[in-house]
Amino acid sequence: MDDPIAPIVDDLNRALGIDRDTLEKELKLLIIDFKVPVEEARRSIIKKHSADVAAEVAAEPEGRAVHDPSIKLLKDLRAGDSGVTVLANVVEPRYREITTSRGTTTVINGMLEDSTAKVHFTAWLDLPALFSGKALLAKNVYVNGFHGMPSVNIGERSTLEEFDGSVPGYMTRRCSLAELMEGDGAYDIEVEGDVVSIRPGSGLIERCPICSRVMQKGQCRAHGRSGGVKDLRIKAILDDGTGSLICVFDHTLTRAVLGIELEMALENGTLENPEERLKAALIGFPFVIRGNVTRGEYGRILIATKATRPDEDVGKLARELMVSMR
Amino acid sequence: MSEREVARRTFAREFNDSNLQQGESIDRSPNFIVTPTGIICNRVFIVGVLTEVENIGLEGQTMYRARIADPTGVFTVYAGEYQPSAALFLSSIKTPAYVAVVGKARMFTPEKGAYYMSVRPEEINLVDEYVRNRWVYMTSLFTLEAIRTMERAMESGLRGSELERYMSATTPDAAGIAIALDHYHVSVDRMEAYRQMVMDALATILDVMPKEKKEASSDGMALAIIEDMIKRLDRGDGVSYEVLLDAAEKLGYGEMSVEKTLNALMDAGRCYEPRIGILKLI
Repeated sequence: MDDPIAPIVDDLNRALGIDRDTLEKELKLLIIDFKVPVEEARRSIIKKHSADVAAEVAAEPEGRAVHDPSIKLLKDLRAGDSGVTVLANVVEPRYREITTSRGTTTVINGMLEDSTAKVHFTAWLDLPALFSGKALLAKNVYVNGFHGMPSVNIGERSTLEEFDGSVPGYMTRRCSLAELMEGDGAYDIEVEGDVVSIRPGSGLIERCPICSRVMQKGQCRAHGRSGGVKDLRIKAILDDGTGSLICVFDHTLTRAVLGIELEMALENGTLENPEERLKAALIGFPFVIRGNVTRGEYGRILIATKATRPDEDVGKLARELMVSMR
Repeated sequence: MSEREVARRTFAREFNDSNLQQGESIDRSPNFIVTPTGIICNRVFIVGVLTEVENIGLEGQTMYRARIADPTGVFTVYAGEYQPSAALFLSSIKTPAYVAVVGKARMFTPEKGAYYMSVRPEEINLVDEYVRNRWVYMTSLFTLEAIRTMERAMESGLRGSELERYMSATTPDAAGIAIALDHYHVSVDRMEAYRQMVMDALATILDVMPKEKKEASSDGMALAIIEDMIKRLDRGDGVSYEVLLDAAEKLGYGEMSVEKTLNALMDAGRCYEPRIGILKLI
């Protein structure tokens, strides 16, 4: 009788470089003990070992990171941290003039990202390495808060090393609202929830022409009475059953969530009962919202950068859930 | 600033099975209802079918009683003169209709041993079938999680404050679970019955058609994006249709939806065609 195992051992040994004893043992287990069809056994072993190989390859770029316990993931940074080391990609660095108490200076602004988060950074001196396009190992940086979001500062005592290898980029993270109600703010996250209330100050508003603050009865709280600039926005309370947050839609997103006709009617100020119309358009409806959570004098606010209505096939999700319950 | 109470999701049957209230109504601290799976709810979010509205106010008073059905039972909603917008909504709506309600959980005990659960609406609005089905799915997820958590509590063999401490690492409802376990004499069978309830609820939304992709003309995001695109691409003498189409396709909008969106923008008077094939914002 033909031995079905030996030729496969030869093959896979050549292809994957796994030693013959391991292959033989695993194939025997699958084909002889578990009566798995030969092709299926072959497929599952290739899959298992190529996953190992892939995992090793994937772990490689961060290999050094793992060995250096002082490296912090960006999501773990908190305002007040100092002497921190981070390994991150530099996103959209640019020079900027800023005015401080000691006069104007030029800094470099941008974002740092790793696979866990994206955060703002400011470099207080000219470091061309930031523009190299390579990932950087930044040592001795410190963290402060900017609108409640952690922000990395690169100063005179910090050092930058170009990192050979790539740091996986940040993919917008899906969060529960409970998660966002704790801790500092967050940059570029996504939530899904239902609109449960519309706050006063939604719809057509007037902003102070000097500072952009919202004016009450034609008055800015800092600059007094002046002709305001009209703007449209919505402050909605979003609730996902685990937590709730105030979510602000700017003019563009207001148009996106309301549709053009309602938005124009609001803008022209011709609607009777604009607040009721806003509620009728939004309350009870689910939204997937991308944006940033800032923390300021009014508590935590989700500033939306994108809003869509979810459209997954819930019938299919329900079926999957039922199968998993059996 | 005090934290806003989160709106909990529970099915009507579990909600109506509840008869445990926590918190004093005398001071201003909120009242909580604790359900048999230990969910602590003050505010709830429900979506269902409004099947009946009755005006039960005496002598010209405003008091509407509404019934809102989900796949497991019926929520009772009362709206009186202190819920004017909800009362107005209920007075004018035709049944049946899909509605969403945000409101406070109330327990009424007219005599010893008789409990009536209801919801006092803060917001009520007309929604659609998709929103209802999604609510059934999400509420199933929450209910299953609560059942599993309660089962873990039973397995621990702990009771009272010890149980609360043990559960608090994994759930914000630890206090509710500890009192519900004793108050409702929670049993394995009862949790199994709720699991079956979830199964039955899910079965009602299985074979509905998936939500139709919205027509681009009524898709606000497409309108906003394409309008912004014209603005950005316009160097002064308009944008050619081909250039716009190219840019839109990169974002996943096909020719059909671009055309529909442009028509909608023109109908709304926000964009015009100064020459054939050239677009400009007004």
